[in-house]
Amino acid sequence: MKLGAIQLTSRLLLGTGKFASAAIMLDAVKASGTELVTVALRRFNADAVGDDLLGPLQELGGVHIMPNTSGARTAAEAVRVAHLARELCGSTLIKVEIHPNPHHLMPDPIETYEACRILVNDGFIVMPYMPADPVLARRLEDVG
Amino acid sequence: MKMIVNGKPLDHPGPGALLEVLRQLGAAPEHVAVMVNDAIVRRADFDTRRLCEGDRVDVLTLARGG
Repeated sequence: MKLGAIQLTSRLLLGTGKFASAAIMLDAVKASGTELVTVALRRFNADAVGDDLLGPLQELGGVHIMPNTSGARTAAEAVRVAHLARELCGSTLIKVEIHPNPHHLMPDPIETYEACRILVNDGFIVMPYMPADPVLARRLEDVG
Repeated sequence: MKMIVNGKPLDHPGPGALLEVLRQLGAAPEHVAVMVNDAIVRRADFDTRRLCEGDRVDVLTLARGG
């Protein structure tokens, strides 16, 4: 499977949330053979330094990191998160998640399209979180 | 020097070097991204960036999720 210039031999993309601990999550990443994991950006917590993922994921080797923009409510916020993520870990992969309502988590299709358009033009490899909308899917495919 | 870091007041005893503030927080510079007053600070500039009284600093890291 090819994402932009990145060639993957595994088609499994693995999230890093919902695990009981960072150690269990890292074991799952290793056992799965995935070459791409999705992660979130959070404020640094001095009381939970062990929750940092960048060091452990870099030590694993062979795993691409795809941050998400979860928490963003607008295209502008998502673009900022993407830029922060790229500065943090050097990854040009980004999962665009824009859901203005934290309760139902339905993605905003208009802000998502706008964020994707901007980020593709900025050199990111973008994977959008979107509803099952084939018209929107085709529009997003058109922007790259 | 008083500033707001991740939404909370921080009293920094030094002259305001960003790297020293990160050290005070216990954050590894190579594992965080930083914004000062909503502007992203490039990692290459961490060692020369000076903070000012009242600055709003956001320090972010990768976390489980996705």
